[in-house]
This record gives sequence, structure tokens and C-alpha cells, in this order.
Amino acid sequence: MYISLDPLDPGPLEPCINIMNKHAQQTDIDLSVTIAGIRLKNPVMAASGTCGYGEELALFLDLNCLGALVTKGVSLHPSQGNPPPRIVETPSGMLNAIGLQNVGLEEFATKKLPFLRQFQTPVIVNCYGKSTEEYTELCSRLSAIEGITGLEVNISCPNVKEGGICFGTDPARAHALVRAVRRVTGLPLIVKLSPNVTDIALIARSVEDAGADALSVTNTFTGMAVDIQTCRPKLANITGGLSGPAIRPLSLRMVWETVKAVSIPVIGLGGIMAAEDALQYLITGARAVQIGTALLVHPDAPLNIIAGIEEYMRARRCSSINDIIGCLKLP
Amino acid sequence: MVMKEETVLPRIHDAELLYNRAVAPGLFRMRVHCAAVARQAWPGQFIMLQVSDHTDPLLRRPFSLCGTDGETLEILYRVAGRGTSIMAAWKAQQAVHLIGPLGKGFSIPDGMKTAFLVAGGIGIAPLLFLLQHLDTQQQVTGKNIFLGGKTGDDIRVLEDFRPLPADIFIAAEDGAAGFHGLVTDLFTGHIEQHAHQYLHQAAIFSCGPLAMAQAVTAIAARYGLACQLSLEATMACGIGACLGCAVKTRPCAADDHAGAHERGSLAFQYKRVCAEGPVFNSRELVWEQE
Repeated sequence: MYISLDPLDPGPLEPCINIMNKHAQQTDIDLSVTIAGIRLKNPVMAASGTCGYGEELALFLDLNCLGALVTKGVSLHPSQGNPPPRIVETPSGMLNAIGLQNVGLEEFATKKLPFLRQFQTPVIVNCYGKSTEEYTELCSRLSAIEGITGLEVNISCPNVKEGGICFGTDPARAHALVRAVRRVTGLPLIVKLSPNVTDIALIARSVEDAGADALSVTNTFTGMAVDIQTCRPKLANITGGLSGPAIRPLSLRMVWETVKAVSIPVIGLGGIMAAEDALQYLITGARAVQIGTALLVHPDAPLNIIAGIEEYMRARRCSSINDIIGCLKLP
Repeated sequence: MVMKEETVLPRIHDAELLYNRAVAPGLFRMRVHCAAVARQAWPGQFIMLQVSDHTDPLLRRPFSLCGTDGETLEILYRVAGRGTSIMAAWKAQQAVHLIGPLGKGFSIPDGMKTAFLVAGGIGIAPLLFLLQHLDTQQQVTGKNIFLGGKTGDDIRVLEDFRPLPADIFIAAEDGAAGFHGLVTDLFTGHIEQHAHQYLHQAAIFSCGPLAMAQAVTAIAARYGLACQLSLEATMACGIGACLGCAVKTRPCAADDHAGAHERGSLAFQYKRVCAEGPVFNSRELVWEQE
């Protein structure tokens, strides 16, 4: 693939017009937010697993427009992922069981990260392991690599050493894991929570106590679909993670419960397709949002969402996004 | 190998629908005006079509291009689910939102003189586009279409594209038209008769259901013919980002990575149908039964 950032280079990639920066210059609306010490020029991030390592998305969207980009989950060693079928569409959503296929730390650092370093956008590396030791080694090594702004630790993974019990569904296990990771990294530490829990506030507090700088709420909801002709699950993995507009009210409720429980920033995600959806999260108290499934359908969705947030603020004569964040009025 | 000379990057396009008509029961031919894609697309490439302005159905649908001219492009589709049911009601002049051109198309082997295009049902679509290209290649003197279907309706679609610059062989499993049986049996018989003429200068290009693809792969292996398969897969993004459309391939030494550390040696490697495909060399694919 050919990508050049040199404005004089007449390469085949026509530069995407940076609408957002133009707007920012013309208006005095301040969309910037700070999360875990990372300054984002706007609160709209690309969610992990829906934008790869940026290369594909860059064909449709100037990555510099994004508040931040969260990479596809990286593990210590490369991972092949699950057998197909890995995807099934559901009402206003989709189930995926990709199985965290990824190129592994080494190839990520040498072949994928250099591309992302070309942009001014903060690069947040989503990462996961199968044991506490894998998480800590991975996070420690990522912390030594230049060009990484922060880590987003996915704790919705089974711990192979504990018989596959998920780190993220048990407050004590989540706490121990985040504490261990906290010890090995000085990078801003964002923890991505699993929604597949009874009380997300409990997990959120335990992760905050363990030293997390921010929380991403939430990951996909475990779901299932069956083909009634063959009587087989539609996914080879049987179950998968539900994402898309179908989960938006569920995720929003969890963001609400989380912001009430913790004092660290919360990043809201789940089914955001348009500015109105993003605003619901921001009003509820999320300091930023991530766009996931929408990117798969409309790779340029962040542009419309950012523009829509700005339009909303202008209509309400609001100059700072911070006036919107958490402005939820309760009965 | 003759391939597309330069890599054309996909874009999001707003196009205009020119026609959308049934050519057989449940089979539609749709032409849209989209010069940017029409000028640059290569046989085997596809587009992702937005089927709803709402969130349900949510995902775009992938369709192989079945032909282009300077300004317009065409797809052929079977009404099979919610997305295609919506599309079947589309009318001329309406706006169509698509991403394309996507994927890696067919490549023409050096010195190929004879091409066998073997299709099952709607799998004829990318092969019609390939035929359009082969018709401009003087060295390709033999162009043969083998089209099979369950019923006569599956084959009737071809009538809509006649005259075609190819010898046409048809098979219907219900005996309604042409050879009574599987197109792969018809094809095997043909190859057996002419094997001596075709070695080293013929290639197979195929698109169809899994069982057909496997049978064609076996024929290609038996007669030492180059064979490329265009695969169908459920896709979420179609642009290579989500890794949803994985297909099992044999690892090649050159790009040995995923899983190598885990397993010591690599039994297979997943590739993306949308990005590394949809066209694959038949020898590259690992079938589940193996």
C-alpha cells in the first residue's frame, strides 16, 4: 500500500480533506478532552478491532481527524484466531468471534506501528494475554516502544491458568491483573471492561483501586445465533460478541453505572452510529467515545459524528465539550 | 502473469442506479453509474453495497462485479436474504452507496491460450467480467464457459448476456437444460477428452458453491492445470479491517507469521477473503475436510 504524508507527493492516495481542523480554526468551539493524561483534540476515537492497525481505515478517513485510534488487540505471540464463520449479522447488530487474531507484538512493533506513527493522532494499543504473566510481559515490552501513547488492556479474556475463568468478570481477579500491569507500565493505562457481569460498578471500582487511569465501557455482549435449517450455531465458535446499535442502550446504562462508581474518566462505546448516539454517552458522563461497528459499515463515520457534535454545541451556544460531558439532568 | 498494472485504492462512492431487472426467477441484474469504479475495476474484484439507510440490516453486502464499461458497472445477484430482498425493489435513478473496487482479482497466467470458466449458479458473475477482459486478449484463443445449476432457471441467466465470446457448456441437476447432472462432471469429461491439447497452456477460473470449488480443485490438480477460485464469504467491512471473512490457506514460507511461534510449525494460515482474495490459487486453499 502506498501512503504518503508529504503534501507535495502526488501519490495515488488523494489526501482526505481534514474538515475537522478547518472547522476548529473557524470556530471557537473546543472539542478537546484529556483522558489519563492524553490530550485528544476531540472525544471521538476509533475502537479496537474495527480499524485494524489503521492502514485500511486511512484509505477512507484522515486518521488525523480522530481523537485517538485504538489498535486491534495485540498479544505477546501471533494468534490465528477462530475458524470461520466468524461473523453473523443480527437485528441492528452483529456477532463476531474473530478470536483475537493478530500479528503479535514483534510484527506489530516493526511492521504496523511505524505506519501509525506518521499521524499526530494518539495511538492507544489494545492488548491482552492468557495469563497474568503474559499481560505483564506484553505491557512492559509495549511500554518500551516509542510511538505508543497509551495502553487499553482488554480484560475480557479467559485465564488459561485458572481454567479459563475470565479476568474481567471477577472483581478480585480484575484487581489483581490491573495491579500487576500497573507495576510494569508508566503509560496511561485504560482498562476495557466486559459487560458480561452482574454489577459493572463493582468491577469498575476494583480496577480503579488497582491503578487504572481510565475505563472503556464496554466490550461486546456475549450472544448467539442459530441456523434453523441446519440446526447449527451460525458462528463456528458457537457464541460471539454482540456489537452495533442493538447494544447501545445496554452499554449506555453500564456507562451510567460506571461514572457514578468511579472518579477516573470513562470512555463510552457500544453501538454509536451518529452524533446523537455519541452525545448520549457524553451527556451521561463519558469523557470520550469510541466508534466501532459503525466504522465497518461507514469507514468515514467519525467525520459525521465529530461534525454533528460540533453542530449540536453551536446550536446550544456551548463553547467547550466539557460543558456537555456529564450534564445529564435527573428527574 | 498479467495482473492489474497499478493498485487502485477503494473509495466510498454515491452512484446512480440505471436498471435493476429480473433475468430469471429471483435473479437480478443491476447496473449503476459509477465511473470511478468502472474505469479502474479488474475482473474478480467486488463492491460493498449499502442496502439500508437505517441500522437494520446493518452491514453492507459484497457483490462481485460482472462487467463494466467506461462509466457504469454491473452486478448479478440472487435474492437470498433480507439485504437482497431490499435490493430487488430498487428502481432506476435512485442513489446507491457503495465502496469499491475491493479485493484482488484474477490474474492471467503467462502464455495462457485456453481459459475454462467454471461456474455454479450466480458464481457466473465474476467470470462474465473476466470473459469481457479475455475477449480483448488476442493470445487467448479458447474461451469456454461451463455453467451448472440445480434447475434450468439457474442457467437461464446466461441467456441475458448472449451473445458471449465463448463456447458455452451447460449442466442442470434436474435435467432441464444441457447436460443432466453436475457441471463438474461435464467439465471433467471435457478435460479428459482434450487433456493432451491443453497442458501448459490452459487455466481454470471458477466460482461456485464449496462442493463445486473442491471438485474443480481436484480436476485442476489431476491435470496439472492452473486454477483460480473466487470465494464467497460473509463479510462485515469488506475492506480488510475486521478479519471476519477468514479462509484457511497453506502457509507459504515467504509470509510465515501468525501462529508460527505458538505451534512451532504452521499447519495453516488464515487470510482475508476481502483483502488477500476473493480470488485465490486453488493450491493455496485448505479445505476443512483435510
